[in-house]
Amino acid sequence: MSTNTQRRMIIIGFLAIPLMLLFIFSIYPAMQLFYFSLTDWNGISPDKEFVGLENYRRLLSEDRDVILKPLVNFYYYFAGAMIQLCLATFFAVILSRKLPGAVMFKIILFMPFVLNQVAVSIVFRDFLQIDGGLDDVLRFLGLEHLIREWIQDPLIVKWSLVFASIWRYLGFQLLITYGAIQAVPTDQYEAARLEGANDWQQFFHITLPAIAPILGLQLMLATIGALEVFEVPFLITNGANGTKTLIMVTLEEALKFRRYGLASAMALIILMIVLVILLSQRLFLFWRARA
Amino acid sequence: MSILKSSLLASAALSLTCGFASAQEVTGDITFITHFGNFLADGSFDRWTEAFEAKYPGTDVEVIALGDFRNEINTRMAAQDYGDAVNILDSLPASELPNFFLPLDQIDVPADFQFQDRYSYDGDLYGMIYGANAEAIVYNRAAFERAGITEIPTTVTAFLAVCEALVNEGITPLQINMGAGWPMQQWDKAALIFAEDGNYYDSMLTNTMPYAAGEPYGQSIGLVNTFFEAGCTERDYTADGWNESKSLMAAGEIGMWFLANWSIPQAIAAGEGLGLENVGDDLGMFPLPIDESGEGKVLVTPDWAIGVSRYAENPVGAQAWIEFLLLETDMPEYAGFIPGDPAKEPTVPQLQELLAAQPVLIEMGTPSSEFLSAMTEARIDFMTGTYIRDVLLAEDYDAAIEDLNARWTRATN
Repeated sequence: MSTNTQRRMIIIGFLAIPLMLLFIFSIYPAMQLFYFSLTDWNGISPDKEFVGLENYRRLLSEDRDVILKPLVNFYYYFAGAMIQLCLATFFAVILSRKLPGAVMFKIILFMPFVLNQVAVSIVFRDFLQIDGGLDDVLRFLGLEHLIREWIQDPLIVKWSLVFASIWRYLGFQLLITYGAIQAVPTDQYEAARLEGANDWQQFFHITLPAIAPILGLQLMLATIGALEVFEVPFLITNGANGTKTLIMVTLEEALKFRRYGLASAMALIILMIVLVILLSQRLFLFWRARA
Repeated sequence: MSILKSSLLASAALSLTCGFASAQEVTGDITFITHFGNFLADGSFDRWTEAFEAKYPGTDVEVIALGDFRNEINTRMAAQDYGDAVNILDSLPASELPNFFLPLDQIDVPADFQFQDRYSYDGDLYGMIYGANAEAIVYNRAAFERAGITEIPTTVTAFLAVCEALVNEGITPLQINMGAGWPMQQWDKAALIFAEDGNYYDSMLTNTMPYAAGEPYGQSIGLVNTFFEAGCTERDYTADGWNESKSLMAAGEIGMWFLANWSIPQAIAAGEGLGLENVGDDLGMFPLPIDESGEGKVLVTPDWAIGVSRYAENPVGAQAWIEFLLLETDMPEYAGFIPGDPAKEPTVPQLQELLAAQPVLIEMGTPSSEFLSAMTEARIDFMTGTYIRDVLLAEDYDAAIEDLNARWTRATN
């Protein structure tokens, strides 16, 4: 066997399994999803009828409220994602200062991300309930007057859920930002300090430009995450009180109303929204980089 | 030759008389999928399967209980893996039954077994119900006594007064279990009580505004909204507190709920789990007051039915199990049902109390497939309750009702 054939065989051998897995678990289901979105399949019946783009037409015309209503919640989670990004950067900068106990704080902040999602949501459900953990803490601190109906009040419930999701994902963003800060060469800071730059100036002129690409990536991840929120509202309120998200209505369409075809089309429309947002963010960042 | 023939005939004749047709031997493994997780937990299913396995040696019944049956069974049905004997998804129209289930042709069904029409198609019976339920208010007598209530309310005004007395005593008057979602389906059923017609759903197809205030459906949702706005209901209305509320009912922390008789044994079991005794003596039932007339009306509804999967590996064994469980064990009574077999009597004293006053009984009809598909078309999750919850929680109740009407009008056009 020539070296070239051997090389080829090794490449094919190493590629075959990951490609096969990718095909079975990603590409094939995605193709099926697209096919279902063109049918009126009810999810269990053996036969389905091909209806072309009818499902898409319905979702964009008479049934558009189905998508538009839960989209309101996206704004809350998106605002939450922005707060989360600021907090993560803030903590990352502080922790990179080699404070005493930095490792412990890092662990505390990262812990929620490692915990089981379902468990976290159930803990929050009890925490935010009437006479739940949060109310007890406030009472202990003598702040009874601040007690609200955290999940029952329609004006507060969305922020309560956003808070739960910030608590959970903060650690992940923190870790990435922290890693990016570590990669900034320390001699730049030393030079800046010699020139008499204060901490704020160091942050704005050295740290921020250096981690900007990573923050851009985080912004994208956070936006997608905000569009695809599911387990936090699902387990805490189960969609009551106007907290249904896009993924929840899609599942409802498929499982409750047994319209898999329509639900598949909804999933693809959500994918489209994600793509449009990603693309515009990329264009915006690209344009800023050039400017 | 003739001897052989006559003995064959004799055995055939014998099999006709002894109930379950023994033409094929009952043996092998039987998988039974049910929603009754509580009977698996308390060991009742062990009792029933052991009795079955003793009657038919060589069989082995495996009971699988699904926590969220209505949703989980969809996945299993799509995968054609739904056991041998299984609850029939009650949203399936009768015409779809042959696609998913086998006819129960080996079972000697008593002629007047209840709700047979609902599960028959083209002359074949596909399902037998666990039992029937009477939908009414379940109340805790001890809680009523503590609040100084001596008379059972028969009008809405009296009911609201009872609520107030219970609230003053620190008792949640009416637990509607809004957080759990599904108990809100009761108000889908209450519409039939307002209409005093078990087949009302089908006449809704010609009505473009069924949720308007004067219509049965509008009245039903309006009634629960009245209770909600009056502070009759629980405060925690977003989290699923169903399991907790069973204990609270047993302990008298909850005054009432509007559910069927099946909820009584569950509350008793929850109370016993807390170490309470004689919970059953505290619980009673009375008809839901819907107006000022004082006339009692009770809706009788079928519970889940059991059928045999079309893809069953052991259809004969599955039928033997269904017949045994429903006709020969105490399962229907034990679960607190009115047994489907009229030869059996309900053993629940609360049912006896409810029926003693001879209320008007309304038998729930089968919603037609046209009605069900119109509901789906209007995106109204009929009999799962969450849309009623959303209407009550909406900032503008009237606008939410108007929206329901508009969706229904569009779906039925």
